[in-house]
Amino acid sequence: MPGFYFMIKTFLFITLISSAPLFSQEFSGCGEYSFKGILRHDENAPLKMSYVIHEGTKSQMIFHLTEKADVPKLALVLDLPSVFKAKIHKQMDGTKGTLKAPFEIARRYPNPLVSTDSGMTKIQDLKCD
Amino acid sequence: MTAYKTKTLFISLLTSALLTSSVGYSADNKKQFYFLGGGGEPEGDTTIFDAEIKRVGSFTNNSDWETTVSFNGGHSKTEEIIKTKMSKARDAGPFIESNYNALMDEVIAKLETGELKSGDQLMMAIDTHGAKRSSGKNAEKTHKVALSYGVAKELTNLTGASTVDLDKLDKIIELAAKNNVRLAVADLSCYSGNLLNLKNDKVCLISASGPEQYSYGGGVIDLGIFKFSVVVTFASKLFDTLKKGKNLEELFLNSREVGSTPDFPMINTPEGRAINDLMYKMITPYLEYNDQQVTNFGSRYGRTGDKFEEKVCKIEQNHQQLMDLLKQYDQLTAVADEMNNNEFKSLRKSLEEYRKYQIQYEASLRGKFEAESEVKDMLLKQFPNDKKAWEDYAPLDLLSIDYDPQIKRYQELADGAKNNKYIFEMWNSTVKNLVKQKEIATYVKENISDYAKAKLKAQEEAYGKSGVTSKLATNVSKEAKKVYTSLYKSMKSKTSNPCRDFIL
Repeated sequence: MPGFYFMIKTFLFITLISSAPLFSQEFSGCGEYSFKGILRHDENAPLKMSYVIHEGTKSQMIFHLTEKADVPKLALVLDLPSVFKAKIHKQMDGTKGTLKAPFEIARRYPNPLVSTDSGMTKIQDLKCD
Repeated sequence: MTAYKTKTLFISLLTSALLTSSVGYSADNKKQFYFLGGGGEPEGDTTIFDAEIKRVGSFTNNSDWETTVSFNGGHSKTEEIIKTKMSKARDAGPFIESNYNALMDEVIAKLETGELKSGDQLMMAIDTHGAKRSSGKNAEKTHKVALSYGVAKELTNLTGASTVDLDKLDKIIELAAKNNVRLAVADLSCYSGNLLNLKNDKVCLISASGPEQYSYGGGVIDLGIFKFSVVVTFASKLFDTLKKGKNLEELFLNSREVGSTPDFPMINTPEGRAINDLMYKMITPYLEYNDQQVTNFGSRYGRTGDKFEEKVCKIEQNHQQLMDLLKQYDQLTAVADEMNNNEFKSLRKSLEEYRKYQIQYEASLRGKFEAESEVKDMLLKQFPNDKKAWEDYAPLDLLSIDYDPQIKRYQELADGAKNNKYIFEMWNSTVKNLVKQKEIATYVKENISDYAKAKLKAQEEAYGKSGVTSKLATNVSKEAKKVYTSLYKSMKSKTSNPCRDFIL
């Protein structure tokens, strides 16, 4: 009855192999977040720059930059998929929000087969302004 | 004692899991088939779905299935094929959102009013481009698929194409299950494994791939004057073998063995679900590859050297656990001597080959990250007063970006904002920062050691040659398919299920 062995091994396998899955967390209060998205020139944004997550999907989120100094900081990755850490210092309004003080900026090569490819993950809680 | 208890528990679980009701057929039972799709294709006369339309047409024209087709839109030869090869079918127009919604509502109404009643058969096939499932709170249960009159510029999110999600099927599934209407849904699109998120053990759900894999179409040999359609993919085999008297479980298993594309077709029978739980997550990392359209091999290591060794260690650990497990399977099957083959060994071998390549690739990445470290040291020593220009960036990214177009763009933005002092100054300081970054990048590129240059070059070359992963992933998929079939057959319950009960 190899079928029984396989079923037993199924459970053994799940216990052994399953590693903690990484879920893409969305907004859960002010804090420091890791962002994976793309920087776009946006004439409607106060500082003419928006960072877009899940671009072109129903889950799209747009973040405006609020600090003038952050614009040159991020400028290099305009229109290039990127990843960085930054602070969300105000409550979001639906899918719109603001971010400031980006750091650890890197280019990102989109991975089409991983659901966490674009998104935001909270690193630590911070008080809202 | 423990083993006995476990075994007893499994017998009970298996028995209860595999128990499904069996409803007899009658000549009065209706057989209705909805064939939808063909969206997202580039402009032109034909689509990649043409061969499959012919196969489906051959079935519908030679069977008593009452067929409705809503397919394509805007491709003249494809439309001609639908007209001639599906002449018996009701043409519900192109695959656009209003037609899709109208047809879904039509099916719902048929189920609600009893026009489709207990014992009737309803089969729905969606054959179009599919998108990766969205994430976040508003994500669809299933996934989105491409409609007609829009070209998908990429095959992950289907940017450029009009799309619709398949969540309306949830209601259809619920009603069909409630009213004992025999329902089968086949989603042949990319990422179609998401169809199985609509969990219901009273209907038959089939997908051409897993929730994170592409599915594959095509299969036409073009010799100029003659074009031969060949059965090399899951979907083509499934459609090719639609014949009266066949059941969908049998067709699924036979079609699954075809071809060597790195996909993972799924079925929602208890056996299918159990094997998905067993194999899918385990195999998924080995189905990643680089080629002209897909470049996900290597993504697990990240873009920077941050925690690189930790990531490698985890990959190696998972691999070893998997190998140990497969060895145990191998030994168990050898003792039972009922399978009389070496599927587990062959799968293990293909996984080892894939891992062997990964190890080489990891070595090239390790070299790249050494170079990254050297660049970082140089930045610290040579540009301590310009930290603002480089400290927030991954060091190698500073070297890889083409500065001139970016500088030009921001200069244009500055020129256009002369009436707004605040914004003008902001663009100006952006240009200054980019000029400084370019100067730093130029210096670093000229002064890093030959060792670091060689390591960076080696990684670039390794990436350039990483197309070989397509073959390695394909091989894993091929062997995994054999194991899937063996497992399915060994677990196959005598009790029926909605797919086995669904006889064409």
